[in-house]
Amino acid sequence: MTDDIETHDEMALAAEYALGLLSPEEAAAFESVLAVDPALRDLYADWAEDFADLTDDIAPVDPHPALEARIHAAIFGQPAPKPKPSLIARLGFFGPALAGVAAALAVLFGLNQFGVLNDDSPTFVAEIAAEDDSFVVLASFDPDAGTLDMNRTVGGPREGRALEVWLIAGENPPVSLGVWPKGQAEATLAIASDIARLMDGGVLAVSDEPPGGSPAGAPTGDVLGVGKIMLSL
Amino acid sequence: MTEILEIDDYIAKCALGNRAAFTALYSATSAKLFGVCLRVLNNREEAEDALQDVFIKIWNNADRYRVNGLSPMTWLITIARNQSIDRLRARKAKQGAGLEEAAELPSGALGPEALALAASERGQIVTCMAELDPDKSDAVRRAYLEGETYNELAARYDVPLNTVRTWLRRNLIKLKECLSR
Repeated sequence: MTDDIETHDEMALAAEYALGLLSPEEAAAFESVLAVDPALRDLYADWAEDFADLTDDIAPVDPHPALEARIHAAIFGQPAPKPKPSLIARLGFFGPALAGVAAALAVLFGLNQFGVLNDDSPTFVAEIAAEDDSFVVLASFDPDAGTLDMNRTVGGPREGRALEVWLIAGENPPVSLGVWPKGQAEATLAIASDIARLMDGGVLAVSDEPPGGSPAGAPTGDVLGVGKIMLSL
Repeated sequence: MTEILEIDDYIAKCALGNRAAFTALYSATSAKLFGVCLRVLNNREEAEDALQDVFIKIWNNADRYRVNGLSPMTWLITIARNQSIDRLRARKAKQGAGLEEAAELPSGALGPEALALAASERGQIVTCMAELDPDKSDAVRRAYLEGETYNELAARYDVPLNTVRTWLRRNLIKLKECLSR
């Protein structure tokens, strides 16, 4: 009987906490127990799941498109505005970034030793972005399928122009991977196996080209975004 | 909803400092979370400020996400809801309570991700809330979505503070009994 009352009490308390009805003192006390009591944590988690369902009928609304850049600036710092840098200049920025990638891979490798991560074949990802994030494409390359999936999340082609995707591997000149299908935010390009081998460690770029793509076999217009290809989880 | 695993994955990658994952998480969830902020705050500008804080919090706390045992969307929605309620309470404290603003109509086209999120099934709580007296389920809803405190609920239903707390607690237990069935 006492147990019942205690259970009910904890159940109600966890709900009050999830609803934000506790006084600051009560909430602080609740949190200190929460930190050491897995059963209470489960009670709270159950309530949080249930109450979150109250938002099911709230329709999604797109925030202002500029908000994303504002959030990026708040978290990652405002990039210094620069006149359109050349592709080579952009590539120079990867030095420090690569050290970070190496550190992250070391962490991931360590995790993998303990089987924390699943064992799927490697996927490669790249964020093909303008320095000011006015153009962002998320790319993911699946070596098994030989497909490059891309999702343009910010920016798009200029009026009457096309986007063309390039791979730059080492010192080689850019290789065209294809022209972005007109009017679509998402695109998948098939990658030939001889080019697929060059993806690991390469750089993806998107350039502004006439409709149908570059007539020259090399980028002719501005480079809108660049991104290093990295090993994903 | 196939997206749950993807969202889980994005959060895990955010914890490792992966900016591309953060961008993907934003594009998959910002419309739903903005909907929640807008519902609570009823003001577009404030909701956008709240959403900014929400995503900063998500980025900073992504490494703690696994610890709390919440599903990814619940974790995100809870952050959005709590952040918005904090703002709403700060606004009420500044203005004095009782000021109701006209609801803004949601606008803007929805992407496929947003639609997929919106199409998620309604939880059992909606069914169980219907089993409570209308007053009581209304109070739960007001606490969750409008951040009303026991003081405000007592004033709204014109009952003493202790009474409102007693009946709300009793009804929360009743609600849990239904949810556990």
